[in-house]
Amino acid sequence: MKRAFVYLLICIISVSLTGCGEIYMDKHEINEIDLIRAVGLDNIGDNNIRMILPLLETQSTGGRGSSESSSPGQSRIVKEDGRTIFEAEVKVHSYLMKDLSWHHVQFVIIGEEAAKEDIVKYFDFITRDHEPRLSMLPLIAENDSAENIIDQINTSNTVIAKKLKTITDGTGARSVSSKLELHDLIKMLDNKYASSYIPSIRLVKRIERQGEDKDKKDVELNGYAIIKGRRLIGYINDDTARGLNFIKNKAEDGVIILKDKNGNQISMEMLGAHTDIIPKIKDNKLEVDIKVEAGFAIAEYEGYKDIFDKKTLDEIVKAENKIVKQNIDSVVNYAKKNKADFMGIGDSVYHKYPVEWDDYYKKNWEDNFANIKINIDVKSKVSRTFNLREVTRGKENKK
Amino acid sequence: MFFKKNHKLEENKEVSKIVTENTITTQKIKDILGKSSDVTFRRMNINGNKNLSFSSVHINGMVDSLKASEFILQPILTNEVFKKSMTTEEIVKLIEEGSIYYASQTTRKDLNEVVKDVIDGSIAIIFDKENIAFTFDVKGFEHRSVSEPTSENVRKGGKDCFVEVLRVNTATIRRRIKTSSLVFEEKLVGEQSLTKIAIIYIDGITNVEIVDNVKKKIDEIHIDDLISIGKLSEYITEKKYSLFPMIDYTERPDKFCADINEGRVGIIVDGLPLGVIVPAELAKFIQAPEDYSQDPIFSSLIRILRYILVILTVVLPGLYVAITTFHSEMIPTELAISIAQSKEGVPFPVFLEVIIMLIAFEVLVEAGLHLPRTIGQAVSIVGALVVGEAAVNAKLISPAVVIVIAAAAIASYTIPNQDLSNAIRVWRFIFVIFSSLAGLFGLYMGVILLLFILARMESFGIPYLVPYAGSKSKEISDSFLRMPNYFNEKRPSFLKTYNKKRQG
Repeated sequence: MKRAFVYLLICIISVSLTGCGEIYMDKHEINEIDLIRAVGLDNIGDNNIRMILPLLETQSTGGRGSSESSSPGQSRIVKEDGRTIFEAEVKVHSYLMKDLSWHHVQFVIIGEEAAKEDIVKYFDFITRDHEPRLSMLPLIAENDSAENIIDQINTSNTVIAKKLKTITDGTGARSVSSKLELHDLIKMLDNKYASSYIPSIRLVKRIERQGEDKDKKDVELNGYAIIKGRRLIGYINDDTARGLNFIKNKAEDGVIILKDKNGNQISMEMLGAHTDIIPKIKDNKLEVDIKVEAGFAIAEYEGYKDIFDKKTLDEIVKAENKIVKQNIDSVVNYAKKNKADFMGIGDSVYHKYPVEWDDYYKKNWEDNFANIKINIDVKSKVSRTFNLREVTRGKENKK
Repeated sequence: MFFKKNHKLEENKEVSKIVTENTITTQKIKDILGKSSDVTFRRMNINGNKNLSFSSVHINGMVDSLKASEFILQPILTNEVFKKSMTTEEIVKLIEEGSIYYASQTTRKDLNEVVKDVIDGSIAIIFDKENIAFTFDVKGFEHRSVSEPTSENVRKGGKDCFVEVLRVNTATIRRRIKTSSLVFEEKLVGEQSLTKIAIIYIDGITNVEIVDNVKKKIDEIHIDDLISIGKLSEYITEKKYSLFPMIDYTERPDKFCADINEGRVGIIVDGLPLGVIVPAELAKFIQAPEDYSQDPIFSSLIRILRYILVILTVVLPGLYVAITTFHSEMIPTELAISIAQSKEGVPFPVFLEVIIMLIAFEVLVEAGLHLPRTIGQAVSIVGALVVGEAAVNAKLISPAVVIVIAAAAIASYTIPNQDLSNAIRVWRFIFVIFSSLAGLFGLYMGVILLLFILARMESFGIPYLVPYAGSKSKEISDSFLRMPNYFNEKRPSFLKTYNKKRQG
C-alpha cells in the first residue's frame, strides 16, 4: 500500500514537472478548434494591419446514411483589423465560437502594401508563437492585396488552401516559380549581405464559372517578389524567374521552343538542370562562374522531315544554350541593376573564400556586387529525341 | 468403529476416513464404502469350496464389467491351477505369482490403498484370512473421444487434442515423446476431489529447480477440489494480481510436447482437457504453434505484424484520445478536418466517447460468451446495428471512434493467447484514462508503468520479459522473427536446461 502510494506520488510529481503548468487546461477537443489553413495579411494604412482568415465552414456530415453531402463548402472569411497581428488574432478569439489553431497553417499571403512597408514585421508573430509551423509557404500578392485575392478565389466548391496547394505543387512544371518554406525565407532574411525572393501570386481568369461564382477568379503562381532588406522592390516573372530557378537549382521541368532552319517549331522538354556557382579570385579580382548543365528531350516537332542528325542536334544544343543563358543573364542583370543579391552569390563567395570575404568583400557587398564579372557557361544536351518511328507521312516527302 | 469424522487432513492426503488399524477385511471396506449405492460387494467360493472364499469390490460404472468378469473373476473361479489348491494361502501365492494373467495387477496390504484403488476404478479381490487384497485396473467409463481441438485452430499440425481423462492424455504425450527419460510424476490434489495431477518433464533436460518448484507449489495446495484451470494457475503462480497470464495452456498435444522438449515442465490435470506449461514468458503468448509449420519468412512477417497489432490494440484508443484532445497538430490537416466534421454535434468529449465504445464492445463480447447459440445471431445484429449504425446516426458517437475501437478490438483477436488478450483489454482502459489526463505524456507514463510492472514479474524464477531483456541476440531474433530451424541450435538459455543443444 505504502509502495503504491509512492508510485502514485512519483507519477503526480512528474506530471507537474513537465513545465506545462496548465496541462489539464491545455486540452481542446478537436471539434472545438477552427483549423486555419491559410492566412492573409495586409497593410491598411495608419500603421494598422488586417488579418484575413478563410475558415472552413464545418458542416456536420451526419454520419453514414444521411443524405447531406460532405462537400467542403465555401470558406467563411473572417477579417479583423488591429495594430498588430496578435491584437487582431485576440479580437477574433473574442467573438469566434471555437479556438483558433495555427498548427495547420500552410500558406501565408502577404499583400503588396504590407511587403512594401516592412515584410519582416509580418513574420514575427508567425515565427515567435509556438503554434504556426515554419514549413508554411509564404506568398506575395503581386500588385494586389491579400484580402482581394482571398475574396476573389473563394468559390463554393474548392477550399482556398487546396487551390493554393494545387498551384504550389505544380511549380515544377514550368519552373517559373518554386516552393519556398518559411524557414528558408527567414534564413535569407537573416542574411545581412543578401536579398531574398518570395514566390508571388496574382489573379487570373482561367475557369469559366456559372451562378454565384461567375465573377470569381483563379490564382497563378508566376515569378518571385524580390525583397531587399526588409522591403519589396519588384518582381521577376517568366523567363527571368526561370533564370533564378536555374541558379538556385530549382529548375525541374519546363518547355523551351526552338525553330529549325525551315522555321518549324521544336518543343524541348527540360529534363532537369544542375548549376554550380564557382567564385574565383583572379589577379585580386573576384569573378564568378555560373556553370549550368541541362538536359533536354524533344517533345514535339512541327515539320515532317526527319531532321535529327548530328548536325541538327548540335544546332539545337547551341540554341538551347543560348536560351538558358538568356534566362540567367536577365536575372543577373536584374540583380545587378537593383543591387540585390538574392541569388546567393555572396554566400558562395563566403564559403569559398571566408577570409577574403571577412576582410574585404562583405563590406558593402550588395553595392559592389554589380561590378563583379559573372561568367555564364551553359552546357546542355539533347538526351532523347524519341525518334522511334518516322514522322507521319514523312516517306511521301522523301520521294 | 475406527474412523474419525470431520478430521483435519494429514499431509499425505488419504481417503477421508482414516482407519487406525490397517488390516484388510471385507467388513472394514464395507464400513468405509458401504453407504454408497454404486459400490458392489460380492462373495465367491473357488471351486465351490467354502473354505476358499473371497470377496470382490468394485464401483459400478467405473469399471468395465466385461473385463472384470472375463479376465479377473473367470480365471480365479475356473482355472485349473486354482482347482488344485486347498487353502486360500496357496491361492494368494498363485495370484501373486501371476496366475491371473492380467497386466495391471497390484498387491495391497494397506486398507487405504485398496479403497483408493477401488474409487479409482479398480476391482479388488479380498482375502480376509490373509488380510491381503489384489486390485486390478479395469477402468471402463464413458469419456469423450480424441477429437479436433476446438479453441485452437489447427491448419498443419496434429489434429488430436487433450481429453478429460488423464491416462489418455499421458498416452498421447508418450506417443510423441518416446524417450525413456520422459517422466510423469503423479500427485493427488483436492481434499474431496482427489484429483490426479501429472507433472511431466524430461529427466536430464529440464532444470530440476523448476520441477521442484512446481512440485512444492502443488504440494502446498489445500483446497476441496481442483476442477478448473484457474485454481491451479492461482495456486502455483507467485503474482496473483498481475492480470497477465503466468502459465501457458494448450489443448494441442503437439504444442505441449514441443514445450516439454524445450525444457519446460508440463502439468496435466485429470478432468481437464488442457495441458498447462510452466514457466511461461510474455514472448511465448505471442507465438503460435502454426508459426513453426510455415515458411520462416512468411511466419516472421506474420509475427512482426502480430507484435505491431499487440502494441496497436493496447495503445490505439489512448493514442486517439491523446491526439484529438491535446495534439490536433499531429493529425494531417485533411484528416483533422474530417474528424472534426464527423464529431460535429456529438455532445461527449472524445474520452467519454472512447470509454463508452470500449464498454459497449466488452458488453458485446461478454454477451456473446453466454448466449445460447440459437439467439446469438439476433444479438449480434442488434449489436452491429445499435453500436455501428444507430449510435452514429443519433450523434452519440462519432464514426472515427467506432473505427478506432473496431480496429483495436479486431487487433486484440490476433493474439493467440486469450488470457494475454484479456489483460491487454484492461490496460487499454488504463491507457485511455492516462491519455485523457495528460495527452501523449500521460500515455507514455502509462506505457512506462506497464513496462515497469512487466519487468518486475517472474514466472517460476524466469523473468517475464525474456528474451526481450537480458538474453542473447539469437534468442531475441526468434521472438520477433521466426528463424529457420537450423538457427535454433540450442534450447532457450533462460530455461537453464542441462542439455543445451537441441540439434546438430
